[in-house]
Amino acid sequence: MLENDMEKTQLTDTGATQTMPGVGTEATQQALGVTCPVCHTTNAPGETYCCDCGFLLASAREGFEIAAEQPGVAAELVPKLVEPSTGREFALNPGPNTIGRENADVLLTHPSVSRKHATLTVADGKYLLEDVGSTNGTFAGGKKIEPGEQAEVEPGTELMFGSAVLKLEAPPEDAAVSAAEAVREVEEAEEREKLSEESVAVEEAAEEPSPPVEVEPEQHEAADQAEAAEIPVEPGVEARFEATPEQTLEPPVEAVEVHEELPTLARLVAKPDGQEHQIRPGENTIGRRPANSVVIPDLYVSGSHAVINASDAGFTITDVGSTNGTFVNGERLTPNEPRELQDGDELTLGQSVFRFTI
Amino acid sequence: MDSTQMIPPSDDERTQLSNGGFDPGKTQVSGPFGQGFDPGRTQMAGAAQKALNMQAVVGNQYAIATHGSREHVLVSLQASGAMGGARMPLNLCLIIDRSGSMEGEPLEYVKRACGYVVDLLEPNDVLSIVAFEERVDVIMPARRVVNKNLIKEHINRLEVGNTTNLYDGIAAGASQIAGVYSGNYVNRALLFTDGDPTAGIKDFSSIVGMVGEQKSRGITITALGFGNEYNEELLAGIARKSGGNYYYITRPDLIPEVFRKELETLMTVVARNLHLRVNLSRWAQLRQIYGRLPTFGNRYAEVTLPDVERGSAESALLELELGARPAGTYRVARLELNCDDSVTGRPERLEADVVLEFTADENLVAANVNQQVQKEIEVALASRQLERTVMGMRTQMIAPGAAVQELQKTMMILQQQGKTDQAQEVQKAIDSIKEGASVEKTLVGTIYNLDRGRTGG
Repeated sequence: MLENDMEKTQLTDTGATQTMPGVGTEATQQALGVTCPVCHTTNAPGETYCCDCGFLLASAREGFEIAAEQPGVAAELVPKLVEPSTGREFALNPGPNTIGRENADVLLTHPSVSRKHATLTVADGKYLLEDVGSTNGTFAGGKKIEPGEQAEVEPGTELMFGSAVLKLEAPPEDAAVSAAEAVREVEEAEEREKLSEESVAVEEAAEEPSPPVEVEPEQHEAADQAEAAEIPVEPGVEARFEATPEQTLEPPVEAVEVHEELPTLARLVAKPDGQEHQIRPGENTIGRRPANSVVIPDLYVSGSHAVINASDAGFTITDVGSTNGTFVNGERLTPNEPRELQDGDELTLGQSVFRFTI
Repeated sequence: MDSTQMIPPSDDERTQLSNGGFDPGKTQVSGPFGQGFDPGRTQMAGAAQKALNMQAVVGNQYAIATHGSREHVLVSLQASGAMGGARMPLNLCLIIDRSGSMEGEPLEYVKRACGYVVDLLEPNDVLSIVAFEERVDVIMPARRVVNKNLIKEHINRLEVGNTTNLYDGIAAGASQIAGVYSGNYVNRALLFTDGDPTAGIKDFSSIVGMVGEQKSRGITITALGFGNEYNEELLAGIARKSGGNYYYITRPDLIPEVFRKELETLMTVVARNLHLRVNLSRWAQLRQIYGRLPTFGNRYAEVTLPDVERGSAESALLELELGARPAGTYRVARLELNCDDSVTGRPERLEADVVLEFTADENLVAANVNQQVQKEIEVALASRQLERTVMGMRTQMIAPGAAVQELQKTMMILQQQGKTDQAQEVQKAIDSIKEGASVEKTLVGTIYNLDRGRTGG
């Protein structure tokens, strides 16, 4: 405690005043709320933790940066079971989700629910519900599902497990599409602006990269637009792409041409449809968003998910902080740690599986 | 204020926070939480005065930030040994089953037991007696225990009747308590029965639901089951819902002893009407509270906890589902415990924060598993295992031999985790099965006490 106090006195001297309302001349600042850097909720002054996401507000000092990918937002695009009576939500994972009173993915502690009650499988945008021998039965839209039967249920259907009522909610099917559209619109707008500034920009580019400040207002707009549509577009991600001088300043048409001129060093072959994505020299960004070099339209894939680096030394893959992780031969990658890729490795991103072939 | 600001237990504040990946202690201490944040300081102010102390211990002070995970939180309540002057007066109702099966010895012992209760009570206490069979009779309406002989005369007039109308019996008893209800009493009904409900409303959920309603009015029910015929699931369910105790009485001559034990327990109650509310932050869900039935809401869950006696401890084990998020320190849940404190004589509120640091470093998570919480998880799982075995025996899905094997496994776990009393109970059950006796009723009590995490008292 004594040390604590000492620290406190020290701190008063070291520019920590910014987050210290109520001290002497800073008193006027007290009236200002504190905006949570993680979820952007405005908190009353004096709150220790964000009232919404619980983030320790005082740990957000100047220069503190939140990872570009906000998992929470992406999570809202995942299918879920919602209990209308309480508002409780159970997120559904790709593949089978067990429902029951014990050790289940969707844990319903109601006595009318059996320990192992039902399984809801999420695959290819379909929802298959199966009763696994419950005592009080499983119902979809009021219709009983016989044990052993696999019933396809539509989003919006009311499901009943014993006497627990849950509604299946799926992200709108066009969410990914509209997300993509929103991004594209924003990008087009930026491109137009860039084109109009091109002559100036190119000249400037020779000396210094275009400062990110110039594009910032639009990114904010993009973010707002995206938020309104509940689309996970994160400010900062675009900034990362655009800030790279060569990408920012070349009109995109040219950029594509450049890509085509580069040789294909390797391929990602999608399972099971065999669709191929080309891996070219340098950095290959992978994600759901159209700005990536490899675009995967899978809701479980993050906007910016992973990067494959191709050089003379070989291939590496790095997860850049995705929500659902990147797996190589079933092994989850530690974010931001490159891992070498070999011919034949199996990559899993979200629900999508690829074979890496050289 | 909060005696309870508890963040991960093992480390002291500063070291914990300094792992934040951002500048350590600095930003922490400069924050606006100067007062509430120093556990040492606040505890001194609180613990001396309040009957209860609440601690929230996380199963791991770190959680993985990059993907969803599950984490346990052990909420422990420790009652102080201090007593504020005289004991709390009781507002007690004896709800007695006088169905046909009680004829003879059992009823005679019940009368004797009621007589003991009268002897132990003082003029400040309020007593009422309700007897039920098909019909419900108020033998004695709620009144102060002044003329003890007169009350005993009433008791001695008890006679057996026909069927068992448990629901109306409980309702009548509760209304006697409610008639003189006051926060200054320990309001409690002792429900004594030897059989399944056979008249009136009989189904489990209606009866337990009504018990829950009574609890919300501050009336707790202790369930005493006698003999081999009663429904242990129902009685334990009543006790569980109500936060009262559950007893299984094997022989009629033990009835007076159990009544006395319960009464002595009631006389040392220091905190009543415990309501725990778990307020969840975004990206956090409560999966379950082991062995309890919380009610869920949008980003909160609530559960009633049993009354706590002087010098005893209770706990609740929570399992949380945590979503991925940007790395950093987060309060994933805020716990609020409201109770009536007999020491201060006031309603009290205790608070505790459940704080974890989310990191991308799996190794850090792996290296910081809290052994105390791990142990409680083992016990909770053993309790679930026991529950399955009991259910299997009752439905005859498990043969006695297999049941013994299962019970032996559970017993070993309980022994290892230091739950000696419960391990002994399981051992006794194993012996009884070998002699061909039924053990479900005892084991339901074992499960109940394991789930309450009760020690001391």
